[in-house]
Amino acid sequence: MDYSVNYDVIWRNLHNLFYGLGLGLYMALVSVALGSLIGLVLAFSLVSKRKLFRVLSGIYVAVIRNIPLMIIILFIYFGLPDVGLTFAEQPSFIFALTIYTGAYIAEVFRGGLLAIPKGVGEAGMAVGMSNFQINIFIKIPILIRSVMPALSNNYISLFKDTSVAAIVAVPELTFQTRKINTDTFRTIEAWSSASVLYVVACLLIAILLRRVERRVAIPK
Amino acid sequence: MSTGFSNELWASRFILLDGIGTCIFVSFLAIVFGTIVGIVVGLPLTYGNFIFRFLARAYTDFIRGIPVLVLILTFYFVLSVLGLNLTAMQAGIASLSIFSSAHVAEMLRGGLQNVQKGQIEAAKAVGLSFFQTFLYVSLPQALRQILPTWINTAVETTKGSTLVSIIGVVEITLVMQQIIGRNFLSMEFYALAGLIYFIICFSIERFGKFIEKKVAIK
Amino acid sequence: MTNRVLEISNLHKSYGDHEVLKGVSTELDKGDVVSIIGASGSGKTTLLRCVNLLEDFQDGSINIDGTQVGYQESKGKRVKVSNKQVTKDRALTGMVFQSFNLFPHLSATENISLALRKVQKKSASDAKEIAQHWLERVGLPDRGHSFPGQLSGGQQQRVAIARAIAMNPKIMLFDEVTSALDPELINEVLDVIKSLAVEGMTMLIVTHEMRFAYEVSKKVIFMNEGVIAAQGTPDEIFKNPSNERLSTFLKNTRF
Repeated sequence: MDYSVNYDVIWRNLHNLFYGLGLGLYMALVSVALGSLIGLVLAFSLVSKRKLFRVLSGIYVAVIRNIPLMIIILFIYFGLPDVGLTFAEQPSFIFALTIYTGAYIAEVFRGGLLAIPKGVGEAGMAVGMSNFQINIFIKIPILIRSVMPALSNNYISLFKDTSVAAIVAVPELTFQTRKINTDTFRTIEAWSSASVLYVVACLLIAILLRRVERRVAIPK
Repeated sequence: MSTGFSNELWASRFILLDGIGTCIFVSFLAIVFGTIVGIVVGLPLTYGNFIFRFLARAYTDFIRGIPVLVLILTFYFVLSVLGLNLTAMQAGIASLSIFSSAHVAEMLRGGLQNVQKGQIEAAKAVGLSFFQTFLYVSLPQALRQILPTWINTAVETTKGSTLVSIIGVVEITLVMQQIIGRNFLSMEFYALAGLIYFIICFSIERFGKFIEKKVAIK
Repeated sequence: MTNRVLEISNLHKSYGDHEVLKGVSTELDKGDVVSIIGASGSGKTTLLRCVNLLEDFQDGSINIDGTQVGYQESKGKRVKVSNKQVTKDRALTGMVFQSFNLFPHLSATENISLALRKVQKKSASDAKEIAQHWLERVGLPDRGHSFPGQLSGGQQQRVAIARAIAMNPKIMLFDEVTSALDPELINEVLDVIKSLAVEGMTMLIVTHEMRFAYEVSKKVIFMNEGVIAAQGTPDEIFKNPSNERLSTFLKNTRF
């Protein structure tokens, strides 16, 4: 094997790799934020008294969770233009990722809602709060604190999922890496760097999010 | 549905079935190999001395920090540079196996460590050796506990198998792209792909629930 | 009649086929302290929850301070009032639960001030002031910043009492408020309730603490299998039980 490892090309392209990394982190952040809104609505439907809400939201969650992210992206990016809905690469990817993660977050939130003791809601009723007020001022704040660890994990796995955006040419880390690979044939350097960047980024986010979790946790 | 779609669907039936077969083949092998490797890594992760534990921990954390797609591309491109010429299919199966192995290892550790201390002490008290305790007490309880997570990993691995289309494995996704390249019915055929994956993954999930009920401790 | 705070007449409540309350009637005037005793499953907690409208009931009526709550007559039919009205009616009563049910994500002060601000629309500073007043009143002047998880059970229950009474209800309802407490924490809570009684608060108390019921009540109600089996002054109930069931119950209960 006559291949001598030389990381020069990586150092020269480091700004591109970091740009790609940042783009991934950004897209994951937007998706987790929008996905949380979808997840919140779905979670309240999943525990609703009305059967129709439960069934519809249950179908959404079951369907989306069992379809690969890549298929959702291909459908949105290549399929939807057939009916006149055309999005640019990045918005369509964020759209896909949001729809995708909404189903997972819904399940997390549902579990969180069910874990809130019934008496806490009743105490809200007893001091004269409406259902809406109980949801806004009591249940959702408790929910958000209790699901933070799960939401953190969700964010990290979403960040990894942003690699799939490369297939619709969103210039995130995987796309940048592939470009370096094809441009320079520095295959080992390119992919090892990408792997290390992903792993280190995941690790750092995890540490950062643990701190956030501790801050928002309900004091004990 | 337009007659165009049904004609095209009929015309593509054989390559489509081939694609589904490939998807199931790749996913199945990845889950089997991943489970075997996962157990091999998971045991030192739980019971190993410092060095073994560290190595197993480094492996699982590293693999779990890398996106599946990057794992697949790395495997495919890097190994060929290193002179190991795997076919796309082999590289795809290998990288998906590694992906699932890290998850299996981690869930096995969680499951084994969750077995109550009192159980282990009770086993010791009746004179079981470490190995016997593991085999007859810890493992059966851990396996029941990790079954739902394991099924989940199986579904994730199957979903991840779409990504091997990128290195040229002709599974469902790539078949769809070939079909669409001919007839431009993107929406219909990607929707069909979604439906097929849903059926496969949902079946795995249901099967998992069924097994869970069968082996549940009453 | 002007002094009548609570009037329950012929209350019937069932879960499916199981009838929990089989026609309960009683009334409380302003400043009355009434205790309800009885075995578990006798319906006493359900009665309290009906008064707070946490439970629907199938027949009978509840009047608080002259207004019928929960249901009204419409074209000769008994219909449930709107959710909005239920919420309003609930504000007439203050409820303290067995399991405290403090809002875990809010400090003691915020637990008390939340409903003052959001239901009574008081300003944040007014609400805080009222909260502090009641914290002092229940003996926790310097625990306003503490979260429920940082307080003992007795302290949590005292905050819960402050939260309920800060809303200025017409009547306070106590549902076995010491049952979840360690024995050494029971008295601090009972003392707070006693002091409220002295101040003339109208209270309906479900309790297992017989000595407390004896000391604090004007009237004691003994419930058995969904009906009021006996009622009277503490002396009549505890010293001189006329009812067979009551005697058996008291014999098996720690005084």
